[in-house]
Amino acid sequence: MKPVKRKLAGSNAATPQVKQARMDQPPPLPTEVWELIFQNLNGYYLKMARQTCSTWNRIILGSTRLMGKFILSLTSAHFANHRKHVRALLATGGYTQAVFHMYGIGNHKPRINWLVPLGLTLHTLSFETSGTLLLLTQILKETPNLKRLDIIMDNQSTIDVVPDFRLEKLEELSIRCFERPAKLIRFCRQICPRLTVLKAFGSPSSEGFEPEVIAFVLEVRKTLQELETGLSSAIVDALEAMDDLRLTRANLSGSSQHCLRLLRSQPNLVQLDISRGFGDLAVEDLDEILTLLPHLKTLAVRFKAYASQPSLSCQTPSNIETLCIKYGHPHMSSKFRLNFNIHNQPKLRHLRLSSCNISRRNLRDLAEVTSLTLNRCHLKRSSDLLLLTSLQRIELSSVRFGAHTVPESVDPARSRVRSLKVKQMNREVCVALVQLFQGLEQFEAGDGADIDEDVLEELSDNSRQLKQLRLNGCSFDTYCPSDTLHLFDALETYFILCPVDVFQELEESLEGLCRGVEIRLQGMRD
Amino acid sequence: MSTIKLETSDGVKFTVKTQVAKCSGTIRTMLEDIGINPQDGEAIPLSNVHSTILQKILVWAEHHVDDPEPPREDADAAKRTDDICSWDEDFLKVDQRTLFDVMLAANYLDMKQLIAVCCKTVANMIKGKTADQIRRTFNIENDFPPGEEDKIRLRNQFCEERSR
Repeated sequence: MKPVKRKLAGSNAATPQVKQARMDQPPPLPTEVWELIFQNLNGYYLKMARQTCSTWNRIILGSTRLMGKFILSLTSAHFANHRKHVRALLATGGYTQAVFHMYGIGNHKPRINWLVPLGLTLHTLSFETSGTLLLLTQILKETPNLKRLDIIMDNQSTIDVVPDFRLEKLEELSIRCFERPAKLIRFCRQICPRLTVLKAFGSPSSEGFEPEVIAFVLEVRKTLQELETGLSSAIVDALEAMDDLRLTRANLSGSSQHCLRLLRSQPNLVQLDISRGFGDLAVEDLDEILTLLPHLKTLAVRFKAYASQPSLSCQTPSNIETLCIKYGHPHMSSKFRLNFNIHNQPKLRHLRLSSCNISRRNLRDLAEVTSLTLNRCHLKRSSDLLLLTSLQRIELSSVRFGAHTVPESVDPARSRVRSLKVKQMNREVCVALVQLFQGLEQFEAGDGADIDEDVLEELSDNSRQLKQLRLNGCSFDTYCPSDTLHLFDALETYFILCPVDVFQELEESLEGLCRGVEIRLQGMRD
Repeated sequence: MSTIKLETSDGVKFTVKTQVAKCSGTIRTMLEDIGINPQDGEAIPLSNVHSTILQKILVWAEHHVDDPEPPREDADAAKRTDDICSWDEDFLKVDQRTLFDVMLAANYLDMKQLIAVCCKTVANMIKGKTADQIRRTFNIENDFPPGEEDKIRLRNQFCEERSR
């Protein structure tokens, strides 16, 4: 022992040098400054920071705001195969948002006391389960601070449970139960005394749905601002009779007759979605909706399909900022289209159209629109899109163009579009589009977009400043994404969603390439 | 134009335009709330700030003295870090020690805009790097007990990142 000690003592001579090195080290920053720094990071780099050292890990764990960038996502498989880690994660707490997928969890369900520290910090929970109301009770009892809760339940045989607790702080509730939802709705009504948002998915024809939804709305009507439900004659009758129900947002399904009747008693609506399901709304009804709802800012509608190509025009002035028009249903033949013919909507900024014909004259009138989504629409020329001079984001899916010629009067270099997303488009159209929209910062190819090396080369030639590239579900038969990385100097993030069979190959080819670029590779689930 | 005197930790006195000095929330509070009278000619002591750093900070404040109030941002969203103006970018091209000293002083002096732009600069030093590269950049020791880093990496996989 002694010689070792002496040796240690003898190494004193080195101390001044060590001190010298310390002098050059930056001074430690206080925790609150590190928090401000980390606030600039997205979840991906926040994870990297957590792995860097225990101090940073502690700072991040201790900040509700930073932990809010993560969603704790646990499945039955995690509970079964990584039980120790899951338990440790729950014990750390700190997370504010979680998603639990508990299908067939059986014996692997968490012990109740495991949830204690986590349950206190959680304010958003999405809970999908094939379990019973008993399991739901056990979990929700430990999460008294929840503000948002989303339940998807797939269990028809559950027994009734009378809950002995309440979620006093809960504001937003969404419940989906595919068959026999009545028990779940009744259970939730008993635990949620004060809601601002209630979303009850289900068909009014399913057993017990009507009376339970009516009872629930009646209970929370004074605070309720947003309602999502299927409508029936009885539900509309009951809602109409509630004088102190003043909705500002609604998402309704059912016949247009029921919807219009309810709208007459809810003139304060700011946001309305009646686009779900295969509606039977006539194009003429748009004027009535806008007249009934003078405060409307966001509207999504689906019109019934006609044998002829009807024209959608609108005489009523409105304050609509976001408009989504759907026509017919997704499975109808692509020859059925609505002639979109809406003018003079000065506040309109966000437009989504499905199965519409759009004329040049119309596009000129939409010069204030900043984001546009087109699905199964038709335009004479792709370059007509540049008539939308304020456009910043555009999303195109199975859009048909008559031609891709660019007239001389149009200058693609003046395009303000920074984000382009394409889906269900062939290679030729993809090339034309990346040539048309110059100066993109984000490009995303979704499923059915035919992307190859040529498209990416054109993209890099026309958009030198591209920061984000997302290839979702492209085939990679003809090229490897790692070969195209060098094309983009300014790239920050590269997302690839690939078929499972090429995942490993891609992962190897991308390894070590991540200098300065956040590369994310995900295998597609079947 | 009114001026006030500031005295740094190493005893150096600076005469500064009041308007420029008020870029610091700390000094503004002293003048407005506590009622220190700059006409007295007495220097306000800044015991946590060295003269070399104050010098640098005053250059920044002088340049940004007429900036409008920044718009309030969504506090929870990941902020952009590619919007640092080129003047600030050049200004912050300094060694890490100086950068951190500026941040400490800006924090003490309560200069929100300067802290924000420094934080973006540091965040940019983290982005695009692996945990190991980050450690090298900031000269941080990997102080996790053996196995702990792997545990954190595994547990991180149970977390999705919020897209918003």
